Amino acid sequence: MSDSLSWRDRFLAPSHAIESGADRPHFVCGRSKISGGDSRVAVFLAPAVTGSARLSARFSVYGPPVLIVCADYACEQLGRSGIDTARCPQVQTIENTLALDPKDRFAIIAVQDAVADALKQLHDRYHDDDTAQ
Amino acid sequence: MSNVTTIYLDHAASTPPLPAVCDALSRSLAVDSANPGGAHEPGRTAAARLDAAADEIACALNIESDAIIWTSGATESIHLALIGVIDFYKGGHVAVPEIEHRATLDVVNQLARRPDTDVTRIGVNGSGCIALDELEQALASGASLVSVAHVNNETGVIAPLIEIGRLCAHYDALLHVDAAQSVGRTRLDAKAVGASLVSVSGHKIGGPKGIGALYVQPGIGLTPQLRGGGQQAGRRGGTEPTHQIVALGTAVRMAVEAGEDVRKRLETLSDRLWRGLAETPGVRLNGADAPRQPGFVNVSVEGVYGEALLVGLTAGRPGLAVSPGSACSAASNESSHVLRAMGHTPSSAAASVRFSLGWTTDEETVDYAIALFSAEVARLRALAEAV
Repeated sequence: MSDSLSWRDRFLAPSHAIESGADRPHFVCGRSKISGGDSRVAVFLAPAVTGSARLSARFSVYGPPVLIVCADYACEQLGRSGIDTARCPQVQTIENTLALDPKDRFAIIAVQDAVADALKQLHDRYHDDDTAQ
Repeated sequence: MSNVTTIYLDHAASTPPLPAVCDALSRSLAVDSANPGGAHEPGRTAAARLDAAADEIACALNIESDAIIWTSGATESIHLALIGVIDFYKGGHVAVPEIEHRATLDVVNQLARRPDTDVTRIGVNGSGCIALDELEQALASGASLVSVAHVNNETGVIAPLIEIGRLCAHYDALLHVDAAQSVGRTRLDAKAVGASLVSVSGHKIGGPKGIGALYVQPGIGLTPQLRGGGQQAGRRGGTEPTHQIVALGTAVRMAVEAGEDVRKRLETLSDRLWRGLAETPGVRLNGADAPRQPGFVNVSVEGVYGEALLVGLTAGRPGLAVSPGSACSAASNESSHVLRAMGHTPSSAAASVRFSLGWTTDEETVDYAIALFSAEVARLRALAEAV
């Protein structure tokens, strides 16, 4: 899925949704809620292949289309990163790439919070693993 | 179906004009060009066309044809009815169910700010039926004007007008009926129910947009809200749009003539649609236990976010032209006021879809809607499964 995918196509066919049969214990999970509402997003991160430095990023969302679109884009970008270099895309980058309205910034921030939570857990897991060795 | 980009299932919002209505409109536009107020033969011809259209509405509602005021639509009719009566009688007490269309509620909210007017809002039960005991209390405490939609525009639930009319008569209150959704579909005999005012819309029944009518029972006081020109006996200024009125009259006549056939057809299609939608778990029919006008299927869906469901249904290829419980976020508390009055939470009201069927609907479109709905609900539930 490329960055140029239309907003509608990305919503109707996101390519980074976590599958129901996914090996969830393999992933760390960061979560976030939209304040004042019932929307929520979870971002799942794990090495793409055991021992690999590349990331596999997946999401789950209960919320408006813009939250699904942002989560899918963030996971797409995270999947292009290494574990040590992974960062959530900046607000401006997401906003421009997905041609979002500024009023939709709440969705970007929710996804960023979930990604930050997931990355922290990922680093903790790897830091703990390094310490154990 | 392959070349179709949208399946239109939003007839309660606006029904595509019937071909015969389009013909009548364009013919009249070309021929009836004179001002119906003109004191000459072309003017008299145009005025006769207005009279003929008024006869169609009078016949449909069992009212006097010379008691009809042409308006720009039901919104204006409702505005004129409620504010016109309150202005004329220099205040009053308006009772209105919470589930009315915004065209009514916004006017009532305006009236509530007047020092000479009281407003009482009447609740409904979980099926959307008006609480008649609350209405009677309001009438007993002095309500002088009751405004009720014959058919609710979201759920299709039919108001018990006979009982409401009896209560209004007993307490000597005026009854205004918003018949925007019901003319020609669900029989309304204004005299039998004791309605003093009835609002009619053109584009909900296969007529054009921008035209409506208000019946005002002779003897009822009404202060005009649009002055200038003295048309319509001074009750509503402005030159009457002959072609639109002719088209409205045609639409009413056709709706009445085809009434029972259309009703049976829509009943069959609505049943088929609901049976298909109900195969998806966690789907509930709103107003299921109340009498409903065929053509309305309003459902609430568990486990999906309302806005996502609506966009998923409308953005597909072909997409469905349907209406939501609300396009707004449940968090903003702007989900359907009708469904919330029926006991839904804001989230549940937001995760609702109104399918409204009409003359362009057939079994193929219904089956497509069922398939798309089922797939979209499953997809969104899967997306939310791990959050």
